[in-house]
Amino acid sequence: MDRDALDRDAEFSEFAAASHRRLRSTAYLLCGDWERAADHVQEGLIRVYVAWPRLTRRGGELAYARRAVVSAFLDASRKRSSTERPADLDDQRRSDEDVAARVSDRAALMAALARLPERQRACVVLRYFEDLDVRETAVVLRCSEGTVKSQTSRALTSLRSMFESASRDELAVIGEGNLPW
Amino acid sequence: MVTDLKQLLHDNVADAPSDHVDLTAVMAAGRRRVRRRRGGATAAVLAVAAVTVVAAVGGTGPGSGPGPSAPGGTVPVVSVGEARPAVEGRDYELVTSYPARDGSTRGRSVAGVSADGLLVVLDAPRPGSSSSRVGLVDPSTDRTSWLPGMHRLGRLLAADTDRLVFQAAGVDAPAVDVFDRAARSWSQVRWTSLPASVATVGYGEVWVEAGRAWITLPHAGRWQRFDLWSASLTNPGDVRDERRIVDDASGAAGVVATRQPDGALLVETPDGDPVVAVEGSDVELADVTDDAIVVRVPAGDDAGTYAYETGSGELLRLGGTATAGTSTLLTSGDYVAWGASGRELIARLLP
Repeated sequence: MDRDALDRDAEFSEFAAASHRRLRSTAYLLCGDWERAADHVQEGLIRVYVAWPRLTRRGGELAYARRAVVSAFLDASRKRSSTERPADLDDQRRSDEDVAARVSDRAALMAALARLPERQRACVVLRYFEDLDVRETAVVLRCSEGTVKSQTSRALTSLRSMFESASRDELAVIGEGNLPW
Repeated sequence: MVTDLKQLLHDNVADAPSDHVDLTAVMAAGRRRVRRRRGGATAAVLAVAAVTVVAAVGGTGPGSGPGPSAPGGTVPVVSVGEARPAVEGRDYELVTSYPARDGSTRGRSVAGVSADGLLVVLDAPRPGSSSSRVGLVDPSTDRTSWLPGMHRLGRLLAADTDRLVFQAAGVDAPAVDVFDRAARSWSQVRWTSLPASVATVGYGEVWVEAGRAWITLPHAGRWQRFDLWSASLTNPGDVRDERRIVDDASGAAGVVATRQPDGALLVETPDGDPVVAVEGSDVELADVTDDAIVVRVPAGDDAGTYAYETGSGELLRLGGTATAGTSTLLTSGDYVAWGASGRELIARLLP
């Protein structure tokens, strides 16, 4: 391997080590399973590595990596057979009352997220965990800003309803109005 | 009481189980993917060369019946008439554009785009000059790095991060000019043992995949049948008869395309696994990028360039026209080129 390639690998390794934890957290919130999250991050990082020579010149490595991981999650969800269910389905099978009685707010949120369609879930994670604005979220999900707004709105309504049904405290986005933008 | 969604999301990942990412494995997989997408293993290249285009016979027209079938499973079927218009910033990042009229930007002809996103341009000192200097243009800064020397160069065959390969011109044997980007030096490899003259190794009959040049030579006595040869890019004596007869003179990276009786294009891997069937009239395979199959429709209401993204399964319409210029422009990695509104566009497909 030539010196340039070695330098590129070193730069990529440094970036991957620094961003891995964040990317894995995002992937976990999307899929609800740490092992599967690691798979999505690995696939995302492979895509980043392939694109690395031009990313380093043009910048935006982290945005590209985030997008690659989200794409890996959405691609995997699409390819999953209709009989395969998300890993956290056990939580979904429980009644809302059961959820209220047996799990914490954190587990209740994961169970509620799992009930959302993948792209609605991605809107929630990107908007409120990654702190992306509507435009940035639309870029990651390759949809219009209007779609992001409507999907986020539906997702928040569903999440609030699920929390309410489970007799948990009201779910809100502190510091923001009622609208998702 | 109110539960803050943002705080709850962060709480959920605060005590993540420890995990070690195997970056060596990630980079090894990345390198394999790069190699595969540049042409893959030799066996794949051989199969790729056997691009078979079956003439439409008794076609029923696009979209008028069930999608093409292929052995081994269900084929995703997409239609150019139902493709979603690609949106800049979401689906692709525009690298550059220039007038399609003369295929040039600022008087320099664009030969292609390298795997690391640099434009490869040729600049002749005066009109009609047979020699050119070669430049690498960074589209983000518009700065040009000129390579040493003036050369008589043919078509650009490869633009990798480590080297550029041009078909040689003005020599008495089939040859390539290779520029080593790290050493910034040129070398020429002449395949004197190749049983062919310069005249029989013409435009579109030599391409570079998997670190070798692949050459198709007319097969004696057979119309539109070709013998496949391969040759080293560094050792002039390493010329091999691959002992394979193929149906198409030019190579297409990584897939085999077969036209179906209804005019649709069935795209398969060299192993025969179906990738996609693209419905439409006269759909042609144009390119294979990192994550997409690029097809073109040369004329008609659906004329244009389309990208089928293998991950999402979506067909994007990139541009409204399929210009002649893009067919000679070499793209690498996840870059695509197409024509629109009298201009040639080069863009990078976003993941």
